[in-house]
Amino acid sequence: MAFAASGRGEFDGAGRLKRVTHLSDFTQVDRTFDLEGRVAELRQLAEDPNDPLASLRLNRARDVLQTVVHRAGLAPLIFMSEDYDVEARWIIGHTVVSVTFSDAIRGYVFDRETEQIVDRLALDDGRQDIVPGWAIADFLSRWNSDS
Amino acid sequence: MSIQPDELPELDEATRLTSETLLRNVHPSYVEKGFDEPSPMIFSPTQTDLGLLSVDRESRRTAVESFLFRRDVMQRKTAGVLAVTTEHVAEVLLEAHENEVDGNDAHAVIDFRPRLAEREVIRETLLKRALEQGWQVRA
Repeated sequence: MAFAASGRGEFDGAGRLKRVTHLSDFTQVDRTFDLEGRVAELRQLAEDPNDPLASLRLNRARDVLQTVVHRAGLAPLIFMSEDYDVEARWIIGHTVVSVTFSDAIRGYVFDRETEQIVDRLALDDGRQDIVPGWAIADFLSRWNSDS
Repeated sequence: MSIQPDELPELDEATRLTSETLLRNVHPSYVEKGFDEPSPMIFSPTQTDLGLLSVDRESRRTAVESFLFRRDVMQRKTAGVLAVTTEHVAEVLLEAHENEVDGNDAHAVIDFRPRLAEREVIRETLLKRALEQGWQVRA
């Protein structure tokens, strides 16, 4: 959230993030980020592009990530496993924030210096399948502010 | 290569690998264009792997041969090959075992079953070790 307000991202007229800029410790600086394009690319790369599970997972990740990116102003790398787990990954200095969309949404912060997970995405209601984008954005922003 | 429940291999001291480089083909959906660093999910078994992560033994097949085998013989997608050693596997308190299968005498597995609940830490560490050695093959 702080980053959307600080002008470190470029937004279009509808408030959608077009580009991430000027994040000194952020290794994904100055990359053009196209969420729809990346999701479409992953759909094509799926072992079976017609598998409905791939579409389900990608659509769900896309919907949540739209909110995350808009609120946190940080664009993730997005990957998909061969059994269609979708991972959004932010690399901030030595800190990695990883959120995986599978049967449930799970997230953790990994500190590469200590090689330990130092935090996990916590949800008030315990319903990991309905974690909202703002909760992930807050989780991400906290760690980016601390780095 | 997924493993069927009735095909679970017998892994014991006789099959354990102690000095080997283990090659892992990287599916292109684990990579983003322009970034060297793939997802650590490549070092985590999928549900159908039943806790056993497939790798190739470098002593039986070079990285280039592993890449070509995956692409041309198995006809599966690959974006390249990363490698970890049996020492790296021991560092995360796991074992690697030889596991020849039909048509693939270089096949081996990293047995995640003793620490499956800790796979998120393990996969991050194995990815870090693999990237320290660099890509063995990059398509």
